[in-house]
Amino acid sequence: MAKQKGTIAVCLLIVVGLLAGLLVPGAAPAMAQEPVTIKAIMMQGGGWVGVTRELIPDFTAKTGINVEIEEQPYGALKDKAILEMSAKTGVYDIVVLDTAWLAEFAEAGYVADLTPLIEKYKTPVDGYLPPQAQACVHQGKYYALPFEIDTRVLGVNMEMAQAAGITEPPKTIDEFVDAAIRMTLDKNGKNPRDPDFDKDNIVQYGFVHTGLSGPYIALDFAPFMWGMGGDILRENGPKDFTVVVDSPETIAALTMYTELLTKWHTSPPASTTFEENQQCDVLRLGKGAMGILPSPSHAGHLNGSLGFEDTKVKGKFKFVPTPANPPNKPKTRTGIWAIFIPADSKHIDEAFQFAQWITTDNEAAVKYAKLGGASPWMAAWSHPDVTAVYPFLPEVMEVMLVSWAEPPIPEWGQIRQIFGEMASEALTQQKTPEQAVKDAAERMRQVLKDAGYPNP
Amino acid sequence: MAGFNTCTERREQMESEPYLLPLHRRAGRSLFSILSERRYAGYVFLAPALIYLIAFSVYPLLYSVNVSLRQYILSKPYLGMPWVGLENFWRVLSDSHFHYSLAATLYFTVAAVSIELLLGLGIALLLNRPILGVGIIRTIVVIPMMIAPVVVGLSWKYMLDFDTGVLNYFIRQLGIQPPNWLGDAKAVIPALVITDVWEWTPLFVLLLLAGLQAMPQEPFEAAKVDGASSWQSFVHLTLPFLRPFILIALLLRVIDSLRTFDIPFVMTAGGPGRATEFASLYAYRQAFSYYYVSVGIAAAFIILIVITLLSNLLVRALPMQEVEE
Repeated sequence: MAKQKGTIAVCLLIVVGLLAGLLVPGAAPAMAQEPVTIKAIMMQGGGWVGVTRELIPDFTAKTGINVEIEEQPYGALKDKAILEMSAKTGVYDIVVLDTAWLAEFAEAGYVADLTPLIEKYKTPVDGYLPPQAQACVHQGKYYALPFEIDTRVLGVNMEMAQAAGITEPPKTIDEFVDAAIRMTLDKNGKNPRDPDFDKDNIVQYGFVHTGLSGPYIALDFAPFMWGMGGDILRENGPKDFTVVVDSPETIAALTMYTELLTKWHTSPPASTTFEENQQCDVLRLGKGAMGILPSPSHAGHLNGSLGFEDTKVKGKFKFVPTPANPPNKPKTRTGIWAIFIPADSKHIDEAFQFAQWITTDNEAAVKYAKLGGASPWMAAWSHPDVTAVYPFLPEVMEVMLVSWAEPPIPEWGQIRQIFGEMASEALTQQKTPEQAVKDAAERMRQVLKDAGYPNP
Repeated sequence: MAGFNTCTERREQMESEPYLLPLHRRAGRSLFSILSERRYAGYVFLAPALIYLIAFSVYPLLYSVNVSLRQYILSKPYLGMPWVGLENFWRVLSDSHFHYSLAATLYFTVAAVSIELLLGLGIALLLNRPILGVGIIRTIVVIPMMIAPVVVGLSWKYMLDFDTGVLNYFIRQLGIQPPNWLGDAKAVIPALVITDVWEWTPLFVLLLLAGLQAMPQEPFEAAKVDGASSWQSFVHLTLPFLRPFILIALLLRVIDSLRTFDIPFVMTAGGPGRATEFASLYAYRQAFSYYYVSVGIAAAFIILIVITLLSNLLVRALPMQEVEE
């Protein structure tokens, strides 16, 4: 009997424990007063993570606030962040993400409106590169601070170009295709136009795709589409967008982009799975002549920035606007990784202090840029210490100042994903460019229709 | 129970077994003392498991059924969760890419599980023989199964790399142009099959080896006396005896392969294009990439139904027959 009573007591204890756990989820032991630690989540492999870690001790010494960084792979980063923010767990105080999702997060109420804090701390937002700062604004309010520039440029290895008889980086799409073919060489030095070209023994690729399905290839292909007069959405007015991706111009651009790989072999076969770092590695090791690069960070990698000292092409690359056939103008998106502060963060003020310090403190921004980060703080780019290390900065600055802001609509992240899948399906020859574009347009229209747009 | 002869006997019985008392006569007793009574003890013993089951299985399942019948967009919480009935299910079923996802999942499952069965059976037959160091070999054989699928996926991603992968290195040594395993839509599912076969063949080996070692020896000795060849013994004795073990292994692996997620997620992220967006990844994408949570749940329920149907078909196709006399 006593044994049974003991068992019953244990069962009851478990029941009480389970019920307490289920009904009082927020119960947590009281903690002694400790210095504030803010927790940030960033993309694994992003060059800026290592650079940020180098700067954290300076911030902690100045403010007493500790900063911890959690890294997640690109694919899991947004999913994890949005799950935590939607569940209001308050786990993260800083989320570093692409501004493609800014409108989505802002309208969902997942991220804090930083405008009051900008006023409180008198944040000098005018010191940021204007397009990159504007990408953090939604309906007149700042929902993030710009952190790491991701604007695309065309990188051209001028040593390889000159060896192929090309004296200037290509300006038009036609010049670009010609240059890509001429700079692709087999082991006998022949290019794909030569009847004896050996496509199984290529030693130098003319243009290296960033071909992984999704956002990667989307950002790689889009500049060519714009350069040939195509587009994804047409803005008719506020909250009124129409899908225009299924235009002859986009199909022509996708055909050209696909044929570079399938017909002319200007890109490594494995480039259909390349992320930006893998593409940059091919260029950095001297096996590729051209690529669409996130600037200026990957431009820095090619020139031997922190962690990339083994580069074989230091000083050989020139960075120029992406090519365009007249009357179209070079167009590249205003990519910017931004610092978001989740609305449920318990340390919004401290997180903002860090965001402001690392992006606007002159000393911090210069150190950040010198280490290979791509700070949006304009003064950093004209600082002599930085320009001495990166003499190409005026070239990339020119592109950054005229870059294009993505549509500030919550559906943009999904539209871009579909656009990337479209390009990948064509590049890997699962569909013809016509079919891929047609299918993608249908899916995009469904997204806009579901969201209530009047003329999808 | 025997009847009570006197009121005194009845009172004594009730005092010794207080649960016979009506509740109104138990006033003043502690809850613990009441719950300790025999008639309630069973419920108390069951309670922890029951609460756990309700909280972590039954409630989430019912909640997800409810959500699948509503419109719930994770990135638009301000829209609420309006009732839409079966619309999400219809949306999934009418999506041509979901049809492709299911077909690709079936192709992957049939290819991977068939190879695993054949290889697993062969290795199990080899390991069932008295060979030197069999214990060490068995341990080595099961190692792949012990590794986390994410680690397996990452390792194979590098091994299958077109330029630097070890597999393509050996193929090139043979003078053959290797395939672009993960970047070519035609080669990518075979690449995932290779990875899955490497990881899960040991499960077949373990289960079938257990079956081989549990077999009675008499029928084999009798067959030998009757002049049966090794092949005849294998077909008419070994395979029928192994049938229940094969069925269990097949069931486990078919169910697991139909809901495969981790390896394609790590190795290809569903690409190139959407070539390896298997059914589970399709549901995940709907819920966590596009934030149509209710559509993702509807897709998951459809996958569950498909898995249940296929598992039943498999059980019917492989009845556990007795070995013929």
